[in-house]
Amino acid sequence: MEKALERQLDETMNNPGVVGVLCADKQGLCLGARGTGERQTCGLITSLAETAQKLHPDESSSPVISIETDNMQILIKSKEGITTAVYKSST
Amino acid sequence: MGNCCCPSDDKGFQEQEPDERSSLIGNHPGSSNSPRLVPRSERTPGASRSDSFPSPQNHASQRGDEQSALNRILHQTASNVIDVAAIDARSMEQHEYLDKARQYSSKLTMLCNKTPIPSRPHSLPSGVGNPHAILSAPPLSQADIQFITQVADRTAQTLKEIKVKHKEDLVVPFGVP
Amino acid sequence: MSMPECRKELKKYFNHLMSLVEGLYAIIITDRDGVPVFKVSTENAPELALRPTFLSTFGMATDQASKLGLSKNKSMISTYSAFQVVHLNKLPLIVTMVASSKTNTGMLLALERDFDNVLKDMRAVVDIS
Repeated sequence: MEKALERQLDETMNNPGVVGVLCADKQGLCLGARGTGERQTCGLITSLAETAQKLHPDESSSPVISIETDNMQILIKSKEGITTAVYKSST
Repeated sequence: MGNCCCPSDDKGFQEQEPDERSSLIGNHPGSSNSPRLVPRSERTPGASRSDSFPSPQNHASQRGDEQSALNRILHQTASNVIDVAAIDARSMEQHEYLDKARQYSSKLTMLCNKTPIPSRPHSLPSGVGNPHAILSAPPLSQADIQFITQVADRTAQTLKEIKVKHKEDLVVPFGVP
Repeated sequence: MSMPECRKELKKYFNHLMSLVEGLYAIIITDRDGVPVFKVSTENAPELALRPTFLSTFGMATDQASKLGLSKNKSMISTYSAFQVVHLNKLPLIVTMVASSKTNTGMLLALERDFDNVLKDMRAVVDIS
């Protein structure tokens, strides 16, 4: 059933520098999480993607959001109502 | 009708009150492990357990013990049953409700005078220690953009493949011959 | 008699939490019978959802849902055409959030952490001792 998604998350984790992945639906409910991706933050991340999309209401594709902190970079993008976030360590 | 017995595999329920039960089983030689036949209608998770209790020919004091243990089992079995019909049976009297609400209100005022209210959560994270370094760094690399776009595309794709697999019947008849 | 200072603070705190999530109309903290301990709401909240008959249903539903063999029930999300209601099981207290159906449910669930700070102390209010 959701095996393909689980595999996809695991594959993403195998990329260099990736320390966490999150995947959430339109309602901000978590569909899957790996590594540093905290399930509790799914809502916040979906809301961020949604808000960013509002900046470009005409644009057909959603923007890529990058959040940088001292030791981490979070990349967020949504596609067809599904928001994906990738946590990369910046070191 | 509307009732459904839950299986006794919920560890949380069983392990909370193992006390009297376990000791009684151990103390009485009269208890046997071979279960006596229980009519189907009586067979519930708790009732099958009562088979291992001694027969009522024991001492009077033990009888009281036994009775309370049996009562406890009955109670627990009853509370383990999901009874949909009984759900809306309980309702509160209007004045009782108001009394309670008033009582809570005054207690809360008393309590909040004593304990401090936590400071409001910050809407923004503390971010970076050295904004200069981040701001002067090159913008998001094309590789990163491509990477996250790819991942997002693939996730959306795999999500489409999620389907409910029919494994077992949704309605299971209980005890129907 | 005006409201005591500390109650005002508590109200401010919850109003702030409520403002963090777009479309959140009410936060109600009750005991297991639906008797309110504390509540904040906006005028958008449906009146029916603030009534004791509605608030008390979760107390019973969570008891029954805990028997399904999936361990203790923690929260319930009910969605309607215009509203959604999220209940959190913090027994002896129950938290009910009433929001627009468009509201990000994940954000509502994430508020749980912020509630925990306050509920820890509020528990003493309904304790019968």
